[in-house]
Amino acid sequence: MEQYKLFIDGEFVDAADGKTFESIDPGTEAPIATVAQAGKADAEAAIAASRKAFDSGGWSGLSPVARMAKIQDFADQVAQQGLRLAATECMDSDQIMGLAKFGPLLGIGLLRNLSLVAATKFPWEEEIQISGNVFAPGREFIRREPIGVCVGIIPWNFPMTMAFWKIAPALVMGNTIVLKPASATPLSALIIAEAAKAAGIPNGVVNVITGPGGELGKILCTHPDVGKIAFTGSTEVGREIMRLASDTVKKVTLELGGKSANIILDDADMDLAVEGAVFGTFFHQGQICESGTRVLVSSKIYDEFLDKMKKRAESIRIGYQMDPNSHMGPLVSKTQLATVERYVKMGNEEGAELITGGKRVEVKGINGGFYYAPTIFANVNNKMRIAQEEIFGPVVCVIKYDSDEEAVAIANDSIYGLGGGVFSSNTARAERVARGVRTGTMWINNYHVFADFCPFGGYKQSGVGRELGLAGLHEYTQIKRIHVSALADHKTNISFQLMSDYKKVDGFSYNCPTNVVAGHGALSSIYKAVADLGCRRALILTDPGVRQAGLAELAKNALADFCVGIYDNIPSDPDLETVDAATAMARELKADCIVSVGGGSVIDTAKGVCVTLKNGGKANDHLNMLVLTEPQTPHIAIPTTAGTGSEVTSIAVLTSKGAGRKLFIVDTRIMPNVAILDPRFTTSFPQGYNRIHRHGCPDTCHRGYDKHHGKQDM
Amino acid sequence: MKREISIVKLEPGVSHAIRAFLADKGTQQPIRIDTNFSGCCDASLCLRVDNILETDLTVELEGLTFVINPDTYQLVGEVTISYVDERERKGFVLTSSKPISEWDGFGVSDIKI
Repeated sequence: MEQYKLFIDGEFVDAADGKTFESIDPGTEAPIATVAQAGKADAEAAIAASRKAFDSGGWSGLSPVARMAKIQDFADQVAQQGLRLAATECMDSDQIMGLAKFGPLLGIGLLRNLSLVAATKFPWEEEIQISGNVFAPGREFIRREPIGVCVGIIPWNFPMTMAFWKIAPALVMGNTIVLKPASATPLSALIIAEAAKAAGIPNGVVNVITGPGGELGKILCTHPDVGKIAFTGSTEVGREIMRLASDTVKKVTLELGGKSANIILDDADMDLAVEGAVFGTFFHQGQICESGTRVLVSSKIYDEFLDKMKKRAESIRIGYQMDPNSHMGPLVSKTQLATVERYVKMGNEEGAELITGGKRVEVKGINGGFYYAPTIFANVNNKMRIAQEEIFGPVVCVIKYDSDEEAVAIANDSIYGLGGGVFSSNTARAERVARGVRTGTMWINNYHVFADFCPFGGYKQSGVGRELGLAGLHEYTQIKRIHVSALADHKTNISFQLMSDYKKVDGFSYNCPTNVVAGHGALSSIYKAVADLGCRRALILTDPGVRQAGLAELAKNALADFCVGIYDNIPSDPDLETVDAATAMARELKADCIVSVGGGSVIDTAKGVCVTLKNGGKANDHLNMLVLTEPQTPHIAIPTTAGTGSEVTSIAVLTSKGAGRKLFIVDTRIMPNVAILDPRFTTSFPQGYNRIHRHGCPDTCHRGYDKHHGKQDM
Repeated sequence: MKREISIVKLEPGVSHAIRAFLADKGTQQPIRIDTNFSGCCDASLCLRVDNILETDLTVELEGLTFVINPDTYQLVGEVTISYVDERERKGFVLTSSKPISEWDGFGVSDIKI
């Protein structure tokens, strides 16, 4: 009988206390290997080796490209072990050979694919162009860095695949790992460790310890040197892992149980749906967490579907897992067989109708083994325990429904949300149903489809986080934000002054893209300015006073044919509704340029209109700071007040009735493109302008008007 | 059928915790020791408030009635119940003479009702 040892710090070693256990072939119940049984000391040694390897930088400090090269060597060594891996997996677990033979290929693909993505496409470093902080300019970027020691705890249903799912992302992202395979199926993980060693993966980067989860789990999940735990297994154990990990606030990803719904719509291709339901629930003896173990069937096709599904289930060949003719092998253990039998008994007691299966199966020529027939319960109520609890065996509940909405409601009536399917000849309808189910994966007209770049994980009590894909890689990194100040002087740092008596700012960074045209006759430049901005349809915004004073008409005449209208209803205290009303007119007139003629209130309104016109929606949608990433609707400002400043500022002040106060748009992108400072608008007002018309203008305007007219007061 | 066999062993504090739970729920029903499958691979033991079935094995202990299905008893053997009340970890811990999975005794559970 083969002997397997623990893999710690690059060496295969016995357990510190010398303990071993046997791994058996579930198809014959015969022991096939003795395996070292790790205890506390071994777990601590593995964590220490992993920590040391991480801290040395020998792996974590490599570039992603350099790591990819080593991972490719690792994949090559897995390929060299491929036949042994497949055969051992088949015997040690209960996978039929038809399935197990793909395990090494999938593992090789995952190692190569993820390392390539990590080396070429993963955003290890990312600039933050728009920081959202208006007071602290500087470069902002994030780095994604490996976490450290990751613990992978995997179940017995797909031991080889799960080992790759944990090892591959951890390593390609620069972490080290301690992997604990299930005690029922420990062998493939130890062969993978051999491949890692042969490939020259540095000592301590990969460690594999085998032994009881109840004992090792507590150490692995509480050790302060462990940074992350990735667990696949039962919800109950996952819950406890999360609790244990919380003490040292480890990152945790959990892939847990499921009771997924496979929904057969009334327009489904019958043969396809039957195959999908049979494969979705009996594949690998139903020992898959996302199996479609609740088959929801439209009442319109229920009887026909059930009849065909029964016949198809009864045609499945059950046999020894290494027999290439077997469709289904044994269950993994005596305990699992007993669990399945308990649930079948429970289903009968609950009143479900057993239409096929519900019994053990003896395989000709084999004495022993944990074989069980594909079992279908019909007329199942979703409240029954067999419909609510995961059985993890070849047992399916068929549930009748009357409408798509009812199907979705039944699907969602579960504490789990891991997988699910929809079968329909109408893709749009199937997609609507799929969107309604609260679950991590939905397959349409298919089932059990996984891919390296497609994330997998659960809603609700089916888990936390995702595996595979970019989302899965992100789970193995942590984010560091780096800020490099653009103003490195203590008296220019506005934040520092919060704790200082020095209340001035000695320096600032001011980005002013506005083209300022000033002087007598400057208004004439507006015609060229509109053309330079690529515009043809300018809308003038102004207030009633300025309009009545004739200043808007001056601008209109200067614009000639470019002017499409004048909006003159801007009050002295413009609010969001003002902006929305002006925007509505601009949209109606298909304006491509805004010309503001007035004081700060008009110019600020125009800034709001330009943002709303460009980005859609209402003004209230755009009360943000430094979020705009491209030029807004062109804006030419003609201030009627000397010194309002709004024509060259990045702020628009607008009253929000909802907030009950003034709010702001702050962004360099809202600065007007052009500011025309023509004395006719700022220091002189045409005849007929009086105090009533000046209501929106600040004091400077009044002073200019009064000075021009030689008055002290009006 | 009432049979006096050793199906359960209580650690200190357990009977008090169970009685407090039953009082809180306003029931005096027996406690069933049962298997529970919470998904993806490993079954576990659990406690639930339940009625006695004719085929059950039954035992009276510290004023409480425990029942277990004979098939379950055959599978797991004698069950030991302890109670933990620690920071972030509170509930019943169940282990058995024939562990139902490698995670035997790892998690804590409430009493299902």
